[in-house]
This record gives sequence, structure tokens and C-alpha cells, in this order.
Amino acid sequence: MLRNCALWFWPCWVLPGVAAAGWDFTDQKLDNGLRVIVMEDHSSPVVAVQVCYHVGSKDDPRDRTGQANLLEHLMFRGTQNTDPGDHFKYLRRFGGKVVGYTTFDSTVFMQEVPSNQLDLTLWLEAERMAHLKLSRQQLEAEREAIKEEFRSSVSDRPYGTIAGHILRFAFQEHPYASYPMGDPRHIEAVTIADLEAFRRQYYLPNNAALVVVGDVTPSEVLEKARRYFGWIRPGPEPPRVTVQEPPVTRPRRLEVPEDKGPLALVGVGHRVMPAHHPDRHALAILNFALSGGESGRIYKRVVSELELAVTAGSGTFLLEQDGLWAAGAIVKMGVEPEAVETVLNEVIDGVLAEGITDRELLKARNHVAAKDVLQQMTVSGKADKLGCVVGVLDAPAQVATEFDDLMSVTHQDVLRVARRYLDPQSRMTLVVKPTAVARQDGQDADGAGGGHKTAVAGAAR
Amino acid sequence: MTRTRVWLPVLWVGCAWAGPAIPAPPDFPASPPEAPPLRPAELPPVTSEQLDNGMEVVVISNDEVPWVSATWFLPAGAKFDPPQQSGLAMTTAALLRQGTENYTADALAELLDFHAIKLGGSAGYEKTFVHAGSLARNVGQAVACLADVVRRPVFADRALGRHLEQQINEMKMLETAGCYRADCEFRRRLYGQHYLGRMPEGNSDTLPRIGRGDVVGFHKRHYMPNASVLVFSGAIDSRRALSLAKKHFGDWQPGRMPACPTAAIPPRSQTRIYLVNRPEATQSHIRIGQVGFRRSDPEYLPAQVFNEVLGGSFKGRLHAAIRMKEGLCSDAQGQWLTGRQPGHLRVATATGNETTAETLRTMLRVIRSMATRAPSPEELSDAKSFITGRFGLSLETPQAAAEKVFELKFHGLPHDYFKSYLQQVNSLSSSDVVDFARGTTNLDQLTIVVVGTADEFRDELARIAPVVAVEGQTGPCPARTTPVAK
Repeated sequence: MLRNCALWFWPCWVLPGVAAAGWDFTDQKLDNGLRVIVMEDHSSPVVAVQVCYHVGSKDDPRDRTGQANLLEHLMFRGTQNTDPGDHFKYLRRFGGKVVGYTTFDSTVFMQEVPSNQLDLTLWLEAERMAHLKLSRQQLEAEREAIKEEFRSSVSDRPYGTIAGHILRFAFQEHPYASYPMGDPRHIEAVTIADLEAFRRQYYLPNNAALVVVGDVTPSEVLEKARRYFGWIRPGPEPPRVTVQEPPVTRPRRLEVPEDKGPLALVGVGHRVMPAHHPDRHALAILNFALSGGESGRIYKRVVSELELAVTAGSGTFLLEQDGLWAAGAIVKMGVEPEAVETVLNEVIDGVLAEGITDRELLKARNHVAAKDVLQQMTVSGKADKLGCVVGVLDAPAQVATEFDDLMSVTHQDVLRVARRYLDPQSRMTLVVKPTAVARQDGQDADGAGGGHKTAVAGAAR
Repeated sequence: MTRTRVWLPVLWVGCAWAGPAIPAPPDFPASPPEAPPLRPAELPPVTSEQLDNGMEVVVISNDEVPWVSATWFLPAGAKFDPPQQSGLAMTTAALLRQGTENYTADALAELLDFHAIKLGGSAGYEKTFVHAGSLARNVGQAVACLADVVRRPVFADRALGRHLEQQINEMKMLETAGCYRADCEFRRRLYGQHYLGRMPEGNSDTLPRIGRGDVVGFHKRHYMPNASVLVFSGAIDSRRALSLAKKHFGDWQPGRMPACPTAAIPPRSQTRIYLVNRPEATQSHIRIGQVGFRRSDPEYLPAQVFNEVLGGSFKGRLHAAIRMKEGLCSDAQGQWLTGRQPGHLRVATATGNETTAETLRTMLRVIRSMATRAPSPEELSDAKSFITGRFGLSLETPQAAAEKVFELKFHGLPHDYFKSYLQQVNSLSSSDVVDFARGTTNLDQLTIVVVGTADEFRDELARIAPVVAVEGQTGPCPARTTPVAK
């Protein structure tokens, strides 16, 4: 017997007894400005060590996009006391996981190692902060590696170029328009002198945060941090991007050809708030109502009810100085992208008119509770959150109050934020249309929609 | 300009640029600091009990965070797919939550999303699993939903049609990707008509042949309590877990798992390069390997050390040769993979078209070195300490521990296997590893697949090994099922 109707009489309360898992951490600065953040977790003999530099692709010189990413690669390529590759070699020797990545706002080095290797990890991080050795030979090798990465993730991959189109479409003046990997022509032109100058400006203790989470104590970490990093001299406050992207005052629309992927994509989005803005909580709740699982409004309408798309959803992308929110869909073969665009607009406009329901609000709060618990499952998950929020945004209170702030969002907050940021007059629409070649590659001898017809015929057996 | 004036700028530009050094204090180490002893990591205590219908219930309690994972494992997967309907097991698993006898798909989605329950299933060659995760206070609802989707899915026509259309579209996209085509062709050449020669997700040719009757039949024939295992991990004790298992699975009647018809794996043959032409590609994808041994075979242990020395992850001989010394590509992987059936050696990379032949030669040189040059003391020590350290990291979450416990049961390994695992790995010698390499890797019987712009490097590849041109570079992957000539 179907229980659909009974669901609506299900007691509608937030899951009882769920409070925020505690984000208890210490936050101190060394004399040279290095921020040291420590959170204890003695459940496993594991520790996550992250160094987060407050420099990302938005800080790349305009004619040297990708420079921060290139330098991040080179920071694994040898120091005064280590040979190229030693960083990985020393840590992997003990089973450690090592990751480096460059975002628009930060350069992050994360290590997850057995807890008895804390000294080794800190030494390696201090080595590359103070003693990095840049050489022509290593530069050439990494240039080639990045060009290969560009080929495999952008030029040779279906829809690989779309991210670049989105960024240039959304940001027409701010350096967020450039993808962290950069322009291959700029990568080709970068010199050792460029990199050294960039490194001196940004890769300083007073422009970094050391985050340690795991089987350690704060006093132990602070003592070691002083020993390994305390002697490194700070530098002048690095230059910061001051460009402000002008607001979008009229609807924008862009159509982009795609020569590898056979399906159309539709995206409808807005510029919203930066990552530290108080409105972000209401936007998070709104986004969950629109896109939280298969019961979210967008998936339900576009995929389940109207069957216009293969999948659909929405998401926020909040950065240090700006932010994006967008809803999108992968359009089914044979469906006009404009039909999907119309429905996405209808769903968004529905929220502008009436806000979200009580049930959607409760659902979002339950999701927040679950997400908070899951984020505390691993030391690296905790370190990631702390590094970003505390190290880059300089907002330690945000970690401690985030859960309560999300839980206290009201209907009025959601409606206000929706009307402020998702105004149709500031809407940007991107449609990706496969070229005839891509469509033909995607259709085998059965022809467009042949798969579906066959499946339906088979279903009758 | 005088000679000196010319020379100095050249020297300035060409040499390593260390930059002005920051003088470190005397107590700053010039070499890696020594580490204290490591606190050992162990598999947490496990309790296990069998229901009357044969389902085993395993509980791994850990109340670090208020979260519970319940995972139902079934030793049946794509191996049971008829060849012309490959993708059937995965389709069945994917559709479980698209409606049951008690809930429509939308109602179930609403229920799960409201209570923040993560629920999903998937299938591989040998097994299917369905997982439910929730806050501890909601585990009762989570297990109820888990049992409902496992036992009483309805596989509605509309949901099936939508799912298959989505999958077919995704496959059509994937089948245009060079790396995927390489993996596909590689499996086909290694395993022939054996089920491991097909991709478990099916392809754009086999998926349209799946109908509702097929999915219903697959579920009826293979989903049963006996031979399956329900593993609870997280903030739950064994009494509560067993009570939930009995309540929601206890009355499920046992069945009889059918035998799995399995084609023979083709014997190894002379090394050949199977060349798939993609005229528009900007890079080529290379795969090298051969069939080997099972997870439960004794070769598994020395293989773990071999994998690290060769380059299962970032470091190792393979990566060092390709990236660090010659800058040919950004990444390379090489390791022995294992399962219930004989696994295979897989060495993989991607490179620019112009460096394809050179990269292939380099990879073959490295593979050969594994059989001709025993691991150095440093290589051996690094591999062992990696395996030891990584073992601890791999037990961080309750779900990870649950997967380790299931691994033992699935491969018929003793319950205390991991107690002596590290000791056995650490007792291996350098000659054990090179003997393993010589016993398992035959360089004259490799299967090599290259996907790229064939015209650019066909002739160069022919100087390395005989080249076989593979037709059907677009469309379903692998191409419509026809016997592979050897």
C-alpha cells in the first residue's frame, strides 16, 4: 500500500537531540604572523597537516594567468635541503596522502599522515616556505606537465572548456574570470624571475595558516610550529585584488558550441554574495530547497515530472570577493534547450513569488545537521573547513557559529535573499549546444532517442 | 659585448635560481627529523551473528560521531549479466530506490531527503551493495528504507526508461573519451569473452536491450538473504543492530544462488599493440598489462610491495621515469589488480601524440626493470613503510572498517587476516619481490592498447611490437560483441 499521503502527516519536526558537533580548536599567531590552528582528534593515530597560503589565481598577473598554479606544482620540486620529489617521497614512505591545489583565493597543501610523522611534515612545509629552489629544468618539466593536464582536462575532454566560458561570462572585469590552470600561452611565457617575484610577495608566514587536526595536542603543535616556522621572516603585506566586478543590471545570455559532448547543457545563474557574507546562510537553505536530493524542486520538476533532462540541480560557488549561484541541467537528446531554460526560470521565479515551504525549511535544517556530522568524520575534512574559513577568510567565529546560524534561518530570510540576488533582471543564461559533429558522434546507428524507444518497447515484455 | 658580458647573463639565466637564502637557525634540521614509534592501528572489535534465513549481520561499533552506516553486500553482480545485456546488474542496483511496493520513487526521495538519509546502491563484477547512512537517532528509519529497497523494489517502466535513457546518453559521451576507450579495449583484449572483458556498466549497444522483465528477473534470481551480509558501522551497539536486522530482514525467505556461466580467460599470447584511431585526439592513452592471480592467492602479498616499487601511486619507478626525468606526461599508474577471478597488471598513462612511442618505450623499460633489477634496500623499505602507514589511515572511518571486514568475508580470508598482514608484508625480502615479478610478468606476452591519432605514430609503434588496427573507434565500447581473433 502506498504511503504517499501518510508522509504528509508525519510529525514535522527537526530531528530531536541533534546539536552541532563541537568545533573546538585553538587559534594563535606566531611572532612572524603565521596562524596556527589546532583541533584534537585522538580516535585514530592519524593527523592532517595543512598549510594554506592566502594567494590564488585571482592574484595572478593578468598576463601570467596560471602562475599561482604553476608555483604550487613547483613547490614540490625541491628546496635547499630536499631534492625534487622528496616531499612526496618522504611522506608516502609512511603511507601519507599528499595533495596540493590552487583555487581562486588560496593555495593549499594538505597532508594526511600517521601521527608520529608530524615533525617530518612540519619540517617539509617549513622547507618549502623558506628554502624553495626554483630551477629552469624543473620549470620546463612542470610546464609540460601542466600542458598535459590542460589537454586531458580541458581540450580533450567533453565539456572541458565550459568552465572557462562560465567564468568569463560571469566575471568581465574581476580576475575570477580566469581559470586557476591559466592560459597555456601565459604558462609558456612564465620565467623564473616572474615566479620568484611572485613567491616573495605571497608565500610568507604572515600570509599563511598552519592547520593541524588529529592525534596531537595544541601545546605540542604550537611548540613544534615555533621550532620549524618561527624563524622565517615575515614580509610586507601582500597586494590584494581591489577590482570590483560591476553588478549585472540586465539579463545576459550566451550560447556556446560544444564539439565533443553530444548533449546540450543549460545554466541559469546569478552573481551573489562572497563567502563571508551573512546572507550566505539563507542562500544555503534556499539552495537545498531547490536542489537537495531528488525531492528538490529543480530535479523534481525538470527530470521527474517533465522528463526534459538527464539530471538537474543547483549550487553555490562562494569565493572570497564574490559568488555565484546557478541552476543547471543536462538536456535529454531530442529536447530543445530553451524548454529546459523556461522551466528552470519558472522554478526560480516560483521561489521569488512565494518563498519555500515549512517542510522544505525543516528538510534543509536536517540536511545541515547531517552535513555537519559528516564533515567531522575525518581529520582532513575538519582541516579543510578550518583552513578555508579561518586561514583565508579570517573568520574563526564563522566555524563555531555556522551551525546555529544555518538553523536559525527563517522563511523571511530566504525570501529576502532570493529577491535580492535572484532577480530576473540580473539573470545570466548559458546554453551549451553540441555541434553537428558532436551530436553525430553521440548517436549510433539507432538514431536520436533510439535508446529510449527500445527501452520502452522492452519494458512491455 | 665582451665575452664576460655575454657569459654572465647566460649564466644568470641558465643556472638554478636559489634566490637569496634565508639563514636558518642552527637547530633547524638540514635533513628529515626522526619519528617516534607509531601508535598501531587495528581493526575495531567486530561482532557477527547469523539470522535464521542465512543473512549474516556484522556490527562494528564506534560512537565518535553520531552517524550510522548500514551496508548490505550481495556476492552477485555483472558476472551474471548476459553478454548482450551487460549493464543489467548495475541497472538493477541503481533502480532499487526508484520506488518500492510501499513508496513511489518521489515519496521515497522525499522521505529520505527529509530525514537526511543517504541511500544508494551499485554493483561491480562480483558484488552488489546497497548502503544507508544516517544520523544515529534515525537509524531505524534508515534500515527500514534499506530493507524496503532491497526486498521490494518495483522497477516501474517509467523509472527504468528514464534511467536507461540517462545511462545511454552518458555512455555515448563516455565512449567518445580516449581514456575510457583505452580501458574498454584493454579489458576486451585481456579477458576476451570472459565477463571481465566487458564493462560492468554496459554500453550504448547493450543498455537499450534491457527491459523491465530482465531487471525484475535479475532481482528475483539473485537478491536473497543467505550468502548476503549486512554490516553496521558507527554509533550503534550490536543488540540494536541485530534487533533492526531481524525486524526488517528476518522474514525474508532464503533462495538458491544460480551458478554463474563463465567463459574461459584467453591464454596469454605474443605481445601486440592494439591501436584505436581517434583522429581528433590531442593526446594518446596507453594501457599495458596481462592477466595474473586472485586476491586469495599467495602472490597478493608480494604484489603489494611490487605495486609500490613500480608506482601504484605518485612515486615509484614508473612515475619517476616518465614525469620527473623526461616530462612526457603528468601521471602514470601501474599495479596488479586482483579480485575473486584472476586479476591483471595495469600500467596506464596519457601523453601528447608526438611522444606516444617514446612514452611506451619508457613504460616497457620500467616494467622490464621490475624483473631484472630487484628492489633496492631503499625501495623495499619505502614500500613496506608505505603499506604499514597507509593501513592505519585506511581505518579512519567506521565505513572504511566495515569495508575491510567485508573484504575478508568476500574473499574467504580468515577473520584474523589483518592481524598478521603487516607482519607478513614486512617480512618479504627484495628477492621475494623480484621472484614474484619474474613469475608473473612475461614481457613477451603483454597486451598493449594505444588510443590516439594513429597516423602520427603507427610506424613508430610497429618498431616496438606488432600493431593490430582496431576498428570501431566510435560508438559502443567495446564494439558490438564479436569474437576477438587472437
